[in-house]
Amino acid sequence: MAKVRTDLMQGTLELLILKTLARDPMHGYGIAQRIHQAVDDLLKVEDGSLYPALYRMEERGWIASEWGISENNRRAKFYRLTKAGRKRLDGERANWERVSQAITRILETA
Amino acid sequence: MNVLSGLLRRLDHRRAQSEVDEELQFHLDLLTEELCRQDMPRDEAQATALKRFGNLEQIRNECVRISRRNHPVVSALKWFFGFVFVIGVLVRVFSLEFHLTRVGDILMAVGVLSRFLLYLRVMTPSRYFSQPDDSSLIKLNDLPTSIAAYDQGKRTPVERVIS
Repeated sequence: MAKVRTDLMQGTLELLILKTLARDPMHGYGIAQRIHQAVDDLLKVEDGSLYPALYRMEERGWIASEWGISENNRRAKFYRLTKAGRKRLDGERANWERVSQAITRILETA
Repeated sequence: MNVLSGLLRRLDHRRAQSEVDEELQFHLDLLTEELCRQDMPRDEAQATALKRFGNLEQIRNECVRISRRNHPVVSALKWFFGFVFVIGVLVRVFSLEFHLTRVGDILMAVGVLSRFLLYLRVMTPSRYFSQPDDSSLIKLNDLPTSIAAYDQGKRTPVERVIS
């Protein structure tokens, strides 16, 4: 039986994070949980890989962070989408749909 | 000079490290609690949380590196030294007197050198400006998962990495 690949394509994690933060500001754990719930076992997302991605995205200005108090009364770093991030999300989503349509078309016809 | 040293103190890499550690610790603790709620024994939950998290040491170092590079003071200083360099170039190009061209040269040199020093300070702090503090880092991924989770002193993985 062929091994099912569940690893993420380059750049996909950023798209997932942007989409997750589009709803509400969240801490890293919340983002990870939301992504796990959404992708179920279809994709393998290692929790720790979120953090370098979050830091890089903050560096690029797509998200901003501030320390706050979490639901369990602990200090936590909350991330929110910036205007540039929202714009990026729209662009990335359009790009993703275009690429995925193109690949699907090729797979169906080839 | 006091202002500059104050700014440089704010770039202390320990500050970036402690914030990253606090964030990662928060994640590991919540994940452990979640697994415990699913009736997993605490020891196993801690080990599973750590395993699910991935390469803690590598992730931590990567986050600290990005965090330091992204510090607002670093951005401001980069901008300022770039500005000094541009002023130097303008003075050099448009000055008609010899001594002013020297001033331009000095400004350009200060701009470039300062950015280089800032780069050393931010990217390789322990090598050039501070005593190495990574000697006690536990190579978590070299250890069996059960050992790597929590040690005898009930210290969490991140606490062990910090200490």
